[in-house]
Amino acid sequence: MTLEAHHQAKVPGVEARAGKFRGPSLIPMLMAIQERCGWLPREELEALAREQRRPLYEIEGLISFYPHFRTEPPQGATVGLCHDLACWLKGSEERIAQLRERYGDTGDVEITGISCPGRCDIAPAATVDDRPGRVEEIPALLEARRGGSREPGPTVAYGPEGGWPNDPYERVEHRYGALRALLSGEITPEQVIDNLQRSGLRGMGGAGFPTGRKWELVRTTEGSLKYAICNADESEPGTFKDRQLLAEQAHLVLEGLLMGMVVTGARRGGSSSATSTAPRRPCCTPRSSTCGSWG
Amino acid sequence: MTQTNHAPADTEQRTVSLTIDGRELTVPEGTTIWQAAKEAGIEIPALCHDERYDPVGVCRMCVVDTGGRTFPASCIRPCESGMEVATSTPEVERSRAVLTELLLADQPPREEDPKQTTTADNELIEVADNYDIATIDDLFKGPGRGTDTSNPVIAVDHDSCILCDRCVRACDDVQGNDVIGRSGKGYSTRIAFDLNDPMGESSCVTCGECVSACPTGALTNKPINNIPIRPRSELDAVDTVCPYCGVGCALTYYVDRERGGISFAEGRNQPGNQGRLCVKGRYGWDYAASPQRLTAPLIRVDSSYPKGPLSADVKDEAQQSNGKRGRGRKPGGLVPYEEVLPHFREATWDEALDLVARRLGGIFAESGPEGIAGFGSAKCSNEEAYLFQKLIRTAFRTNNVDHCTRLCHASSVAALFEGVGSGAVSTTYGDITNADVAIITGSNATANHPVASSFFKQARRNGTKIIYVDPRSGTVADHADIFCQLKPGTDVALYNGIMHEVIRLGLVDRDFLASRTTNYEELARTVEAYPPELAAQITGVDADTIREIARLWGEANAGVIYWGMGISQHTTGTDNARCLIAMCSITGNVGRPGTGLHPLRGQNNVQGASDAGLIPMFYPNYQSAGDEKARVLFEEAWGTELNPEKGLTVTEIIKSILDGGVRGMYMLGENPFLSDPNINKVRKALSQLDFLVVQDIFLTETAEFADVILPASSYLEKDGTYTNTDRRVQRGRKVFDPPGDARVDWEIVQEIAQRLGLDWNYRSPQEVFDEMVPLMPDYANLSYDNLGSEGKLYPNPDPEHTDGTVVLFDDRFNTADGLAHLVPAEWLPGKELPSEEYPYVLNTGRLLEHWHTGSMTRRSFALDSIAPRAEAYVHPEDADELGLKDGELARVTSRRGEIVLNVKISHREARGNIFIPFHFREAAANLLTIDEIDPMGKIPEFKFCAVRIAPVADRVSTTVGGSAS
Repeated sequence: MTLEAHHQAKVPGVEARAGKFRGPSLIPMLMAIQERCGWLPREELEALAREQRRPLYEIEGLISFYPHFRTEPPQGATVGLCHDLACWLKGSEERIAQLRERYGDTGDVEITGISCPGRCDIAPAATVDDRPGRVEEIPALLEARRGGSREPGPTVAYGPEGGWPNDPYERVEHRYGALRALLSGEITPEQVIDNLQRSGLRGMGGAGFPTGRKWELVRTTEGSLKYAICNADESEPGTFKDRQLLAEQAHLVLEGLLMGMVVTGARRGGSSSATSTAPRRPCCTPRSSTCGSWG
Repeated sequence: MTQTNHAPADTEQRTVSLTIDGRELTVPEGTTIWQAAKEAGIEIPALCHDERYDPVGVCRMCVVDTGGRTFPASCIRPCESGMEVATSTPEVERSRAVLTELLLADQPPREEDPKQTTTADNELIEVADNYDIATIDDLFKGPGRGTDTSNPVIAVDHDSCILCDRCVRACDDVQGNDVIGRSGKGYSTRIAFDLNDPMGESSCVTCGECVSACPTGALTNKPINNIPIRPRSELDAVDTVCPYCGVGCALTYYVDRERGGISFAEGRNQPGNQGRLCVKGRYGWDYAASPQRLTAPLIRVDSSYPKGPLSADVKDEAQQSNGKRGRGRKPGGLVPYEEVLPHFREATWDEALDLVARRLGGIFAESGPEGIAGFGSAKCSNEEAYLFQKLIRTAFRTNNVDHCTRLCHASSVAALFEGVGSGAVSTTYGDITNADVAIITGSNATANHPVASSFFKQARRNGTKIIYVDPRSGTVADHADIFCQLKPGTDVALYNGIMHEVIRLGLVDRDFLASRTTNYEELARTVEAYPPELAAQITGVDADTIREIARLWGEANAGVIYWGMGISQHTTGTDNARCLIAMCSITGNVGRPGTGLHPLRGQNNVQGASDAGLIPMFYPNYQSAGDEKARVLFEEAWGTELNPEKGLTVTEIIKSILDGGVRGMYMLGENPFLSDPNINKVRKALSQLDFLVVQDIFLTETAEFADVILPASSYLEKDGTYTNTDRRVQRGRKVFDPPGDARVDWEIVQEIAQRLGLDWNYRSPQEVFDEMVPLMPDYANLSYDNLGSEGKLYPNPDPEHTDGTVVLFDDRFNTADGLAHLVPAEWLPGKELPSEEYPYVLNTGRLLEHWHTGSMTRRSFALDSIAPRAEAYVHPEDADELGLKDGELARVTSRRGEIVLNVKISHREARGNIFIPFHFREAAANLLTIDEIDPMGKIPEFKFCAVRIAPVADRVSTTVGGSAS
């Protein structure tokens, strides 16, 4: 068994916190155990720690943080109702009480409050064994589950007839036109920055930082390795957009990310999605293949 | 000689200039504001930050004003050029005061605070007092987060916890145990052990580092033996050294004089242990206060002759009066006093000492030097070891004096003497920090040298590659880059295979070989016959791993080897160590920082006892007893004639008794009944002795065979020096008076010497030390005064000003010609291979919590609570196949005996191997072991014999094992 050890420059405040134990993310492995066993039995977790040579406490940190992970065997079906802000505003608290009343005695349905499953569009969002749906759909979902269905819930398309007005590309084959122009030299990174600055586009995470200025700063900053990170974490209270954007207009998100990388000189890019909720797979995986040829 | 740990040559260090509170400072780039301020004498309050750990900046108490948008945490913010820092503006102070209020709101009231009511040094309360914050009643107090008292000596109060992360860093970054994390999120977050398990049931090893890290009452020590924990200022601090293993950690006992007990212990800063301790050092000192201490000399009563064992566990099956082993007896781990004491009567010191002198003197008169032998102890001080061997050598003119070094590193020492001319380590355990690659082999260091292992684990986190070679997957394996799980007893084949590949790849250090070694050609010829494929076949390690190790080792700029009993306790122990010496020599890995050979010493003073001459073949400082020049030197120094014949070793003495040679013995602090191989043979020998005097602090199994038992002092009751595995000579200081009429060991030895006609008049251990130093060139220049509080490494040309020599052999070896002598070895299998009848290989060793024959640790509340019973460690698949269940009983049988003990299913064993710790008299592993010895080191093969194991159906687990009570 060999692990790569390497000298790393110490960064105050970083090495004692994140990435202390080298190795791949444990989340997919925990998900696999839960998928296989329906929950996370102790022996499985101990075996995982042993095989991956990671401390048990690292696993505990993950499974106690994400409500998705179960440390007790499920009693029949699990109905979750989101109690985070958007759903709470839509009355999830009363709905949970109602559901408890309705299914409380049956013994084969467990009602729990859950953190955001990323479906504020159907608030208050429910899940039946992790499959999301509207509260009204719960009886049907329970029925489908009894029939053995394990289909993940569909992503609802909200786009208006004729497509969203923010999409400049009418036809699929025209997509990534701006990126192509940038890569072929038809337009320069400076022009991109200039356009962004003149458009007045600002970040909407709270600080309202001008986007053009940000890209310019990163472009002119010296550094051997730059990263571009797309935050698709859906973490602004009361809003819901990232999932929809990735589901319906992933090409625009990817194009923006790739253009940002080209302009700033970032050699690595990535996207985080819904880490504050359930650790779920990106909903746009199949569609991102349209731009796969650029690597 | 290299005096200190080397630091890489500094490339030009860039600096930055800034002002802090109006003072202009220039500091090295990368210095944090907190550190820069501290060095300028400006204290910034901090709770999560402690210089022992990397800063994390989570508590926000140390925020300062840098003129920016927000107040940054000074513990993690590096100084920048031109920065203007204000550490104590009204806004900053207000921020800190509010923060303190918020933290305090959830704290228990100070009169109930677990820290404030014990050591009274709760750092949060101290900050609160500085801000005049007394009680908080206008803030919402969250739901309680609970307490955890499952650990016998550490209490957890989650409400006192401020989630500062210090315990997490102490556990991970300092001790490398990786047990503490966080569970939950938001307000209910709390520290958690493993999978949020109770601390006492988690993998926590109770080193107590987290307690020493905690700023509040969240993690505190529990009182031991009802001695309350009080503020340090109300207690008497005694700076001394841990009495357990060879790491020799410096510590301070805080003593409650009113109650006559130790309140608590703390690690002390010393270049080796740097304030760290393990569970034995921090919590295992209460054995000395056991009510079972011997307090008066005892003489065997006439009716108890002829001699023989007295307690049920020590008798063999034929001697059991009721026929069936152990039936009707209280389960437990210690000599049952009620069975043994009636066979002795109390005596005065004069009567007992006169009797000892008369009987031993009589045997000497009748049988001459061959009739007498003495076992000293590696638990005693240098001075006591010196006096003991001097007594045996001068009063009885015999070199029949030995101690338990024979059972631990005798073969390593033999190989080292032959190869490099010195048995001591060539570098320290802490020097691993300078190594690119470290091989740790045959050493369960996390259990046996816990504090040294913490430095190994830390070195790996800083980039040193660790190659761990062991048949058992000890916790060191979890921290290794390469874990090489070889079959037991195949070390020579493995290292020959590695050397074969190093040579094939041309990675040998030709200059070093040419100028510093002899006999390389013969070594190369021998290892030529061990290509990795063949080595793989013998060792069970795949050939690619062997090649990878060879490349890593050969290419390393600095490589070091640490080894333990897994190398030495074989009939091929000397050959195993020869291979390690060759490994270092052919790659030039000796004599520079981060390189060398380090046999990790077991006992706290096994290095010192050997240095002081407590071995049959050497006078003090390894001056050969067979060498005439050395003999003349000591004859002159001691004013008497000495015996030119080499003496017998521990195992040879036992054999000699059976053959009618040795008839009288003096045993100081040794318990060969449990520690020597093949107990049935030892029992016969001890019964046959004409006269045996045992000097100890408890009734041991060996004492059951004694004619006279002398009550001695524990480590805590005497002054003396002790030499650790690093060659660090440290002073142990007296904490208490011996109980009752018990006396300190060196005085007892002197009393016997005087009664045998020797003119001894030492008034203190210091006088003995002053006599030793001129006779021991390695200890030159050392004195009680210059050892100071941290001790000194030897050799030490200038102990007033330097810590001593870390790296030996930088320009020559200690051999006569100054060269390293390479000795090739052919692989030989273990003496007793598994067979159809005995299909498993038995490996024996120690547990973290216990020490040797358990007479100390099984009387320690903490250690006995954590590890109360004997267990046989079995691989889960073997257990399945054999129908063995965790916690149930199994019978383990070898050709020499059988024991019954609990099964422990362990993923750390290899298939086909059983591990049994040897501490437990009720299931003594050495009933099973074989007394075959290494031809050169005379060390027994404790690590390899054939056994079978089967479930015991008719008893349940609760009827064996047991506690000190």
